[in-house]
Amino acid sequence: MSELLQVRNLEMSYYTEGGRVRAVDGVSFDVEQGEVVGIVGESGCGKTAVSLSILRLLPSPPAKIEGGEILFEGQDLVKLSGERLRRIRGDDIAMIFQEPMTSLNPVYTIGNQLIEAIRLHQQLEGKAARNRAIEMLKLVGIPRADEVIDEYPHRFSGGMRQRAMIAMALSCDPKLLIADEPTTALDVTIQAQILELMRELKERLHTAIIFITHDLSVIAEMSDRVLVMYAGKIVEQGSVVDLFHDPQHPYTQGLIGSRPSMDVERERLEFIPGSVPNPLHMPGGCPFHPRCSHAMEICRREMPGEKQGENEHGVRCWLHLDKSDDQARPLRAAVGAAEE
Amino acid sequence: MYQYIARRLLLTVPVIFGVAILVFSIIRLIPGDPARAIAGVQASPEFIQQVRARYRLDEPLPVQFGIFLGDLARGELGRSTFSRRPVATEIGERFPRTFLLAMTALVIATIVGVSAGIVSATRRNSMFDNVSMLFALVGVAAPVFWMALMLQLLFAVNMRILPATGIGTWRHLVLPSITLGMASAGLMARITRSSMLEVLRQDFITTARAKGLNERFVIYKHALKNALIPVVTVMGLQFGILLGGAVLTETVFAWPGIGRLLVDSILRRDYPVVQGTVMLMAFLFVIINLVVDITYAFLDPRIHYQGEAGE
Ligand SMILES: Nc1ncnc2c1ncn2[C@@H]1O[C@H](COP(=O)(O)OP(=O)(O)OP(=O)(O)O)[C@@H](O)[C@H]1O
Ligand code: SF4
Ligand SMILES: [Mg+2]
Repeated sequence: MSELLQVRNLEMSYYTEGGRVRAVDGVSFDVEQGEVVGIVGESGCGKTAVSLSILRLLPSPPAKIEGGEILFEGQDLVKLSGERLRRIRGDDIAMIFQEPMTSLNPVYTIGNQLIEAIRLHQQLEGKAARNRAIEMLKLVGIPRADEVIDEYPHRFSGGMRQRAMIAMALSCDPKLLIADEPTTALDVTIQAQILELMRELKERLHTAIIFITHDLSVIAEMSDRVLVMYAGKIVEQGSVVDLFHDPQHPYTQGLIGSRPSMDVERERLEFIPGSVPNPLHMPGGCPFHPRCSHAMEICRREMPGEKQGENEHGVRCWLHLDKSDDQARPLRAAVGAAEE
Repeated sequence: MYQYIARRLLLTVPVIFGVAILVFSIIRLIPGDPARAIAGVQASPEFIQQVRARYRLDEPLPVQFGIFLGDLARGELGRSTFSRRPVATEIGERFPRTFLLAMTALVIATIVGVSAGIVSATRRNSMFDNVSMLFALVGVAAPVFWMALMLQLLFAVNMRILPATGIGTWRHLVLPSITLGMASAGLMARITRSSMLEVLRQDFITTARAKGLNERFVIYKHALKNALIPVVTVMGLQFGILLGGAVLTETVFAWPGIGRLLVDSILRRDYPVVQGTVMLMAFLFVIINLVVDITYAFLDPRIHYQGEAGE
């Protein structure tokens, strides 16, 4: 398969009054054509920052992309002119957002907002554009699409609005869809329906998807590959199967462990202790060390590099780096002993 | 939509009624003989007697109020005690001049204020933003008479391109309407700017950009219509204030409008004229509010649908 998107060493910061927040800190990953890549991590780890960086939709100020490349079909989106970037936005790469209640403009009808994208990228006008819009609304399972198209967003429920957003995003046959927590704001039953819809559309349209969530079970259902983010960095990435069966990073292990699931006994349900670090005062070394039960001396001082395992399963943790460091050894041995 | 308008229209009735009670009470609450007050200070005893009979001031208050309302409905506002001309004629002569002045001021204020606000918001913290917000502050803070004198000095005395006072041609309108509109322009620039900045932070703006729309389209289609909602309220209020606030401007520029009529009439204790003018002003405020509400409904579909959903 060929690479559709290649993100290389992306660095992005928010310059706030309190100081610089490195929201994305050296992130690299690929998305192949038709592939679904999940990004998972706790709130504030930089998932939205990554997704907004790709289409350069960040509020500037305070946001600034400070380094790296975002290659989409070979061209670097970071350096692209505004005019050429706009031709990619909504056409080749589309986005849906977390809050369906606020993502649609309240003073224009659904149809108006849908048709404007179709007219812009599909060279359709008038009746043809409208028909295409109705067809899209039907595709995402909105009943009475030919009437509903003239309604204003406030007449729609959250689930219906998110369907309309999906229709809008898919109306120009994008090669890549970025879905930033598309179900987080919805009720559980509606969540399931929207996920079902997205799975169905993925099969039908073969659009590559970057699917962002903080819910691992959603990732397991949707994705081919997973990126686990912590404090602006990817700490582990690999195929869904590898990641769930053989999680290597203590943070990933914690996430999987804290996932309430039917076949796990209550007692074994562990949570990751502590909370996400203050982005203005990142701990040195491995940012996870204050919460990590495996933390070693070196973790406090140095950032671990990434170890590439088989099947492109990568992890950023001293436990997995063959470091003949004096401080790394004894603790590792102790960990091994504790597990036996 | 029509239901919404009809409902708003109906709501104006109690307001007008309330103002009528107020105006009716003013004359009757003044210490002393209301007939004397209405007839005027220098009126002869016969005339006072005539007035007493005409308004049936010996009758109980509810009957008097009924007569008052009947007169109002017929546009019968009595006669000026100063000029002895019908109040309706006095007002009818002057009101169009004030309306013209206030309207011109409003148009200038809206065009200048809203465009400055938009540009300021989209180029936040730029040179333009800083300079225009400084002007906005000065516009709001500068006293009207000072502003008027400065403009008269510059354009009438020094450059001699515009008349300093009086009425007649459009050129007479320029300085007074700029003076009058200055404060409103400043206010509207600031409201537009902050409202626009607020809207530009909203998620649907990111959605619009993510579609690939160019920035002009994002601003003028998606942001502006939302941002104008609070601006329209201010516009309505400002028009009311401009009509009322014309008093000072009319005085400085010798513009014989309704503002001056009101001030002069108060000084002369010309109660029928005061009554008529106050009634007219109240009526105008009600109309302006109505227009504002209807404009809202055009800008924001959530408003009129809400009402319909409840039916
Ligand atoms: N507009 C902003 N100004 C300043 N800092 C911001 C801004 N938006 C986000 N941040 C910071 O950037 C970091 C990454 O935020 P981001 O929104 O990408 O997290 P996220 O992983 O999407 O979280 P969530 O699950 O809550 O959506 C956080 O520390 C956050 O506080
Ligand atoms: S590097 Fe150290 S602190 Fe970080 S996750 Fe690995 S063991 Fe824990
Ligand atoms: Mg987010």
